[in-house]
Amino acid sequence: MLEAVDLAKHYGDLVALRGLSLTVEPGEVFCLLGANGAGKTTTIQLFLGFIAPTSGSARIGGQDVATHSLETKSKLAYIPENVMLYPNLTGFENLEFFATLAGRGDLSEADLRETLKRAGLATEAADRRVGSYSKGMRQKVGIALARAKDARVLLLDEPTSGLDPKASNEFSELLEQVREDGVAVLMATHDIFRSKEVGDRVGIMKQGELVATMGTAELSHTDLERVYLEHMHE
Amino acid sequence: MLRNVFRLEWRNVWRDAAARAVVLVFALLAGYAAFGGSRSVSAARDAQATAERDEVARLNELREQLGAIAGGAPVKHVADPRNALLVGRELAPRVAALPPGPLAVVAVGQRDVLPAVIELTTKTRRAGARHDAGASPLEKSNGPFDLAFVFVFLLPLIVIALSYDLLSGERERGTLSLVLSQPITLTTFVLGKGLQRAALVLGLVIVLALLGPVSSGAELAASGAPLALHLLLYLLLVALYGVFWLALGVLVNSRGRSSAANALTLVGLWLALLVVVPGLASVAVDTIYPSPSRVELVNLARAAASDAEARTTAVEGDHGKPADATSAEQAIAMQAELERQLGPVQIRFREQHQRQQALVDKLRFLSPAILLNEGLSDVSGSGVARHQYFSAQVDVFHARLKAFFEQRVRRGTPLTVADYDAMPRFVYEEPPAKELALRVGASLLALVSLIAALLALATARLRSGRPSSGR
Amino acid sequence: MSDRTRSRRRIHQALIKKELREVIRDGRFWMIALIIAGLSLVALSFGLSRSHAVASERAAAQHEANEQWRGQGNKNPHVAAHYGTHVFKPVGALPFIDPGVEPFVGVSVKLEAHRRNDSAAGRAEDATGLSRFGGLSVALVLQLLIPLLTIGLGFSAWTAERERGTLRQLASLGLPPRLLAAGKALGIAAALGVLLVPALAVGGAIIAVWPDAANGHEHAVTSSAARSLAMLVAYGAYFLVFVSLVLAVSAWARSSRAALVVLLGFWVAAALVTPRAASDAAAWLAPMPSQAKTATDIRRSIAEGLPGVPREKRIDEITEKLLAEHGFQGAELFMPPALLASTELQAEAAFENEVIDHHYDRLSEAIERQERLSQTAAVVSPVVAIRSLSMALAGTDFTHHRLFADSAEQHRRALVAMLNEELGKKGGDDAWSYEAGSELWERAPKFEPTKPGLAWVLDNQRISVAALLIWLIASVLAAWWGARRLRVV
Repeated sequence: MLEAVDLAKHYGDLVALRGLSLTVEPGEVFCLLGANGAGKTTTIQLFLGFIAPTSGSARIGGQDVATHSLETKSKLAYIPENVMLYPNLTGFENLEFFATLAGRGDLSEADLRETLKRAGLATEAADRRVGSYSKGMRQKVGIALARAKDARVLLLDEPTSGLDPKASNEFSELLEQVREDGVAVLMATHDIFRSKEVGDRVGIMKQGELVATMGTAELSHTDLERVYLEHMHE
Repeated sequence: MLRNVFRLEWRNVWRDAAARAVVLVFALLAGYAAFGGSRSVSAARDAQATAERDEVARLNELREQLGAIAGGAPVKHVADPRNALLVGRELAPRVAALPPGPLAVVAVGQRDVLPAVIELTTKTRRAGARHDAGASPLEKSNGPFDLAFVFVFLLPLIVIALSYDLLSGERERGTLSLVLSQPITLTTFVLGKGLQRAALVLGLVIVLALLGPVSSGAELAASGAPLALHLLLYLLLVALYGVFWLALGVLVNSRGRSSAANALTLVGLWLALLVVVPGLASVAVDTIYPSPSRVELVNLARAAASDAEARTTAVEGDHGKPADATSAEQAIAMQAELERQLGPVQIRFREQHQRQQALVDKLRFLSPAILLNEGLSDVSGSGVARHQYFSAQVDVFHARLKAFFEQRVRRGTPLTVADYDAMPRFVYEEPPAKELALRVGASLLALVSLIAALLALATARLRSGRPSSGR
Repeated sequence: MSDRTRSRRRIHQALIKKELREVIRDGRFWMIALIIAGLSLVALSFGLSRSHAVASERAAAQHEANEQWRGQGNKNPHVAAHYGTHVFKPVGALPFIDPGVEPFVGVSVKLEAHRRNDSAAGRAEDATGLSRFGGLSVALVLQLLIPLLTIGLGFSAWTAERERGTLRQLASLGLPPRLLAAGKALGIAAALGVLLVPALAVGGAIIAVWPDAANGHEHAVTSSAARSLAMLVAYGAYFLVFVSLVLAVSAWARSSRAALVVLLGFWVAAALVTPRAASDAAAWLAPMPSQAKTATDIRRSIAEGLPGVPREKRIDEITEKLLAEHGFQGAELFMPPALLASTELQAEAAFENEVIDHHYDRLSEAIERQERLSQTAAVVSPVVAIRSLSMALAGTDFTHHRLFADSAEQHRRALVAMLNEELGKKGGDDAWSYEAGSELWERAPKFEPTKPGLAWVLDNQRISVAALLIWLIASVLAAWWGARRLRVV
């Protein structure tokens, strides 16, 4: 579903991403671990088409992002670290707007409200302006959007950083549901614990390179941490 | 897709208290300006009517005296209504008035400095005393608070306030990345937002622009000019000017800088187009075609008027002492001599003004603000061009008036009621609408191409630039 | 010097240096500074050449008018009074800094017996539509552009420190907030200084090299050093108001963007909207009588007398008084005919002057009422205050113009009185056939325009001066208060 083929991004002499090759299947959660500047966000932005690759290609559902930007975007949903919405609109209005942009203008108000509810947003909150929302609430609108859009690919950029443990836990549960729906998930994170818990596979990135990939099933949490630190110290 | 962005933006702008406040303040200022405009136009009309009434009253009085004299009343030597020389030179100054233009309510233009009422005798042609308060020197130097000011100076600032963070704001709030992760291009998104602002600005501008004409509805009908044409050109000018600033806002936003940087850039551009360019242009006009000196003219006119003449008027006019008898022929010759000396100077003034105006006509393309200002002066009939047109008609009329009296002075017989009836009257004719349409049309064309260029540049930038989400 | 003051001074210097560095390393500052410097230079040289041309033109015209007067040949003195002469307005003290209302008022007055003429030969009619943009002058640069530059330099003075997180560190140093504020103010002021001091130097040099244009002209109102100095102080205070306001807003604002928007909004309201709105509203609320009405009123009063006192009665009264002065009360039959004619003329002139004074006093009151009203807007906008003050100091405001018109009228009366008196003295038996010659024309009084001093100017500008002071105190307090209450995060 999600595929990087020898994907590279250079900024002048600086190499942000070096020959990344990676596939994420439907129903699979792939976590990218790494320090700041390791190339995780660059990878996600390449899949979003926000930046153009220097070489190689990022593909979604077999289509190259660079040449089929709109088609690929209609298949994906993106949840950044901080889901930012229009503060003067209500949560419902935000969802309505983004869903329409996503090509789901056909959804009824009831459908949209249901989606928000399923994403865990309290019913009465839906008609409040987003300006008063907490970070976790905004993120729920982001997830509702991903649902409403019926995205086949989910790109997550540090989605749990800054969330309190309860919200973080709820998020993991939602991710579980998404996976069951057969969505391919690529998640960049610092959080080793959570990536072990929700991820099917984990990749460790360092200085723009994917240095290791492993399945989480055969690893314990301590193993993962050990491997990660080993790579960081090299 | 465009429609959705458009709808979102309505909500966004409408729920933004600051945007509402900006729009409200602007509407209030425009309302005040329209109110002031209709006040000043009706004052100008009243003043003109008074001047014309005075003229009629003067003539009627002379006629009555004529009748009285025929009935045997004594003749007052210094005010003899039968004396063609005296009547032409002093007793019956004729009034030539330039009525406020069809949309005078929009722009004061040069109305507060150029005389709208001219008093003509065979001897002189001078501005009649104003019957309205007119503007104080301070008011003139500060500039009038008319709709033209509101549109030329303030509208761009309102548009800037509504558009400086069109895109940068989305980036800074972080909403842009979520938007662009949807199947929509940056260009479409910005275009949608821009269109919404355009609808807002156009709606606002057209409603406010109509405030003026509506508030002085009664006055409008009075003018002979094709009102619909003027109104159309006026609305087009103001609307395109607003769109120009919006396009500039979109272009500045397409550079991907911060909102603060955008605001500074736009205000800088405002300053350049409204203060610096017009300032330099006016320096250029004054330097290339300096007006001849009016101060020198004072002495020149005095030197030209012979002593003998001053002596005659002084003694004759005010003290009723017998004067050195000046024959009619002599008076006519004196007048001709005076004109021979002063004529070239007056022509020099006029020609220089025409050159100046021609230069301004070219320089206006340097800044849309000058384009609009000149355009509003033209459509409102308050500009230099219409006044020059009026002035030329007054010249023709003056020649007729002089010829009329000269003929009667030469004839040497007393003036009769028939002569009074035949006295030429000034009737103002509006300049041909085609001229106006051409002049303003060129401005409109310039604005349209400017907008097209700005938008093309902006779209090219938006297309090429990858929208980085962060920063 | 104690160690404490020394260390404090060092801190001061470090703060200013830091602020100045930040500004000076900003490429945009230099670009804007260069543009403003260029504009000032164009404005100054245009202003200088214009005022030079105007001054020499008027001096030449006055000279020629005097020549015409002297060369009018032999004629009866009262006929000469009708013939009259012209006086030309001297140029203001610093018209090249601020042209004020000069382009919109007349520059010469025709002086003649029996009537007070309005000043004429102004340049307003020669202006193109471009004049609506206000023209380019040094005053424009100082009043509008420098505040805008100040806003550009300082809107993020505090907010950027907060947004970058450096404010926390600054605050943790334990420096008193007013010291930080003063450092920032001085930093912005120093940046403005980088622009203004050279401009002042260049301007001064041009004026020094080209003294004619500035004040060397005999035809200029005193261009006293005092006026220039007052101008400097006034603009200094004005800039300080803006520096303080900018810092105050930056301290109170939530973000740089908010600070910028608020400050630009203030600039638009204060510099653009208020001056026009104020003079427009003043004209509406305190209207002046129309020119035609004043003229008609004067004409009627001269024909009929002032209310309650018929013309003939009043002239008789004055004549009686004059006769008494000459010692011929009740005995005018024994008077030399020319002296009688002269006395009658004098009485008539005195009556006319009373009428003129009566109506002009009312006009003046109306003008002053309107001016006071529009000056009061200085309370909401420091720009109104400085505009008014600047014109007044430059000698180009309407008050200076009216002073000229009044002194021309005084001169007219003196001239007419002298000529009428001469008629009485020399006229002998037949006043109207007496003719005087160039000897008399030479002896006639010379026009000496009043040269008002600084005190007079400041007295007229009480409202503006007070408003500027209030703005200064309030804005400095706001900046100081803002710095004290600064939110660190």
